[in-house]
Amino acid sequence: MNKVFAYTVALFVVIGVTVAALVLTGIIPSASNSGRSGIIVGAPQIGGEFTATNNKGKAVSDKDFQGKMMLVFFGYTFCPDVCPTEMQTFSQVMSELGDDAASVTPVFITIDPARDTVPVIDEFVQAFHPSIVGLTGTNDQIDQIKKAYRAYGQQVEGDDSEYYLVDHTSFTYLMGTDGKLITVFSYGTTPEEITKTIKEQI
Amino acid sequence: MKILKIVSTIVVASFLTLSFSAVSAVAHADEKHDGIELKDAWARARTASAKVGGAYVTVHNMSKEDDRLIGAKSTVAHKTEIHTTKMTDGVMKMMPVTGGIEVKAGKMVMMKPGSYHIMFMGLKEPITKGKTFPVTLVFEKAGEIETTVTVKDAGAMGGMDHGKMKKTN
Repeated sequence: MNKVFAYTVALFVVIGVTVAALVLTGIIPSASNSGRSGIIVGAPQIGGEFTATNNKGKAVSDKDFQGKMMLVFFGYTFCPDVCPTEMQTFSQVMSELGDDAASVTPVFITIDPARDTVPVIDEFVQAFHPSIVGLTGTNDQIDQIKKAYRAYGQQVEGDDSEYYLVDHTSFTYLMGTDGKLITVFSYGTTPEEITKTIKEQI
Repeated sequence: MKILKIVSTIVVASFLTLSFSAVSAVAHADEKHDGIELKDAWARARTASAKVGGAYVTVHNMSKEDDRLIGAKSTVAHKTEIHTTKMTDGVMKMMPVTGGIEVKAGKMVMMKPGSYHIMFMGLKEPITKGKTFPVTLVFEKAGEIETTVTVKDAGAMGGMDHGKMKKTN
């Protein structure tokens, strides 16, 4: 039941991001793209290679996270409402996991690298749980991660260049030790539910 | 000797003034005002370098007339606005509330995470846990009402704190 739900959610991510990408670029996939794997309905390919800078200023890649499960959330530190809520969920999951916490790396990936510099993201994740890894990077690196995770992040256009808002994907991804997607949690999933799902994988 | 007397008078006078302002400030908090009552104003602690923050207030319209929350003011930030969070197709969008929030007569509107919040943009001072600061809400009919915001944990959920929901049995 849980898997069905997760796949449905994942499907919506794929559809949502595709539509958003089409709207943003105005490009309908051309014939030249048809040879590529693209998006397979029912078995979304989420995850994959990426490089970034962690909250300690170290260059990291997806390889550094393999061997442990990953709990991934996309957001930005300037977000006062949704992102702290999800980070609190992460913090509670890590506490509730007890000894099993060692098998998961909670990861907060910024979709606002311009403002979320290494010290800013470090301070933010530390406010919630010492085990949370914050990832930032160049625009290209962040674009690559968003693409790999079919995640959406778009700065809201407005006159405020300093305190702008960013729309972003609200899902939490649970990735396996091999870096492949296990399931997707919708926003508002309780820490208890996430903890249970993680424990089932151990 | 005369100087000493003047100085002591000034000291006593300033002390009295200060204590009076303190008392009046406390009395002002959560005060009922033209039928609108502001309750449980709280915010999440933000990091020392944070430039934005949010706060939540419960608005109770105890009058017989509908009213509308049309704005907010604070001294902690350069800009204070009423925002809301909406989820569309899995994408979280935060935006300023346009046209205000209606608070019907006899009803309550509870701002909470994932919904309505007061947004502070360009923080002038850090919002640290345990701190309190004033915020003023502006209503169409009731006018301006001030309340005191209490800063909780960085991930506090208000009255629904998961941490406080631990079963005792």
